Amino acid sequence: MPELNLTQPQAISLLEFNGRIKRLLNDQSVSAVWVMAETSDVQIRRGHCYLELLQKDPNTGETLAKANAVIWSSRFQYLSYNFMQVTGQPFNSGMKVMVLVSANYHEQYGMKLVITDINPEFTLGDMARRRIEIIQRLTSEGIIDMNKELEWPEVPQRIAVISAQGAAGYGDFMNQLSNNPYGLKFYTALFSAMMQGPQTVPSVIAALEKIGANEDLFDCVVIIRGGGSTTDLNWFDDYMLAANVAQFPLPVIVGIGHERDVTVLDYVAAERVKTPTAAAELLIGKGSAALAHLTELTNDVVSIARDHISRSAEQLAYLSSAIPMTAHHLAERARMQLQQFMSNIPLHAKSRIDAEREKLGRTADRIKDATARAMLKEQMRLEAMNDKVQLLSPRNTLNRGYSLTLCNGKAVTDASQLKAGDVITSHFKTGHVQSTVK
Amino acid sequence: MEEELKQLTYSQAIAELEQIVQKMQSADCTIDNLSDYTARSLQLLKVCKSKLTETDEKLKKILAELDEEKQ
Repeated sequence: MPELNLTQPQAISLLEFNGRIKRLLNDQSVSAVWVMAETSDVQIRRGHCYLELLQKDPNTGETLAKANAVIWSSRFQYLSYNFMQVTGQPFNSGMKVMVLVSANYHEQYGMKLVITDINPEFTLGDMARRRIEIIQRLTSEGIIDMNKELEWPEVPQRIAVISAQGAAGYGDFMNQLSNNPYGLKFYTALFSAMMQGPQTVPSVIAALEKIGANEDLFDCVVIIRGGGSTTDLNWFDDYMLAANVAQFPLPVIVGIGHERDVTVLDYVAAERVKTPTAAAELLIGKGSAALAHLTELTNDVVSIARDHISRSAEQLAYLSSAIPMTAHHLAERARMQLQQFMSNIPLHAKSRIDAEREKLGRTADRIKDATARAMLKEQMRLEAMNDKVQLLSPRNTLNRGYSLTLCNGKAVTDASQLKAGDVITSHFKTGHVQSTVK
Repeated sequence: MEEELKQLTYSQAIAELEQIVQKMQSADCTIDNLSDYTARSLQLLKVCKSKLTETDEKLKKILAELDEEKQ
């Protein structure tokens, strides 16, 4: 039988021990110290904020340190408001924070770090830094502008929508599209996804994959959320999601933030807008621009056709008016020519008459001369003839001693012509005698 | 003709339209081909406008099948 050991070590109660821990922690080195950590498992209960503070190995992601923490409700109201004002985000899990902590040990509940202040600037800087890192990576991989460089279809009408089913933002978007004042028709299909919380990235990527499988049916993708005031955009600052959007084969419009909030998606999407309504307006704008262009083209066609017709009519009118004018012009020219000829006639006539008269004068002179010459010649011929006549005249013969015998008034040249009893008359130089033939 | 027009996509129709308007504005356009150009361009304009403002029931049905809200 084992011997009962009565000399047991002195022990104290747990309460007392915890009391000692509590007293040990009552030290300046663990009181009101600014600590950098990552938030996890943030829960609000009865106004108090319970969370875990973590430190992870930046390379492996392994947890290096961990502590429970609390922000009492009296302080949390102010701190959470201030945090939201500066960062635009609610105080939540997965954030890098700089918090003012004091180690607090409660005998009953154990160790807790009590947070009395938060430096939101640190978180803001970290968010920006994280965003910058993602953007740098997308840039170095050469994919950051790929979606922006896609060519938009003439009019995007077939739209794949990624949004939370039943979300106010989705409703706004659909209303805006279907009630557009231009009568433009849009065709939408909703691919629902979680738009906040840890499932945001995988569910949006899954929706993109579904759309990608039906790429030919759509002109563009619209990723929208909104309507609520508590926007938690942190979920969208994710490399995988941004890389998916950047390399998506259709142009993506994101409308997930507010004016002040920018996520990595805003840097990679083809178009970024502030709200779902603005996303609808963007699409309506593209459609109405196309309609305006059509109206412009209609006017162009009509005015060109009208111009052509009026130009042709003008040409025709010109030609038809030119014909009589040309005819008139020709007639006038002919008339003037005629007039000129007419006025020249007397002049020509006079000179012609003068010339003729002169010619006539010359001819008359020539006639006169010729006549005189002919007269003279004739006179001379007459004179010669006269001389000849004179020489040959019977009288002259009679004078030379010849006589002329006539019988019945005819000269007798042959005596045989005479018969007895004929009375003949003989003429001499002077006087005549009658004789009777025997 | 009607069938051929229906087969055109908006992009094809608007591209042809722009080309015709350009031809109409050029010196080559005569009163003889003006009427053909005008008729064709007005047909194309009608096609384009109807594609923007008239519901394509077939397309609507196909997309409704993908719409998770309507499934």
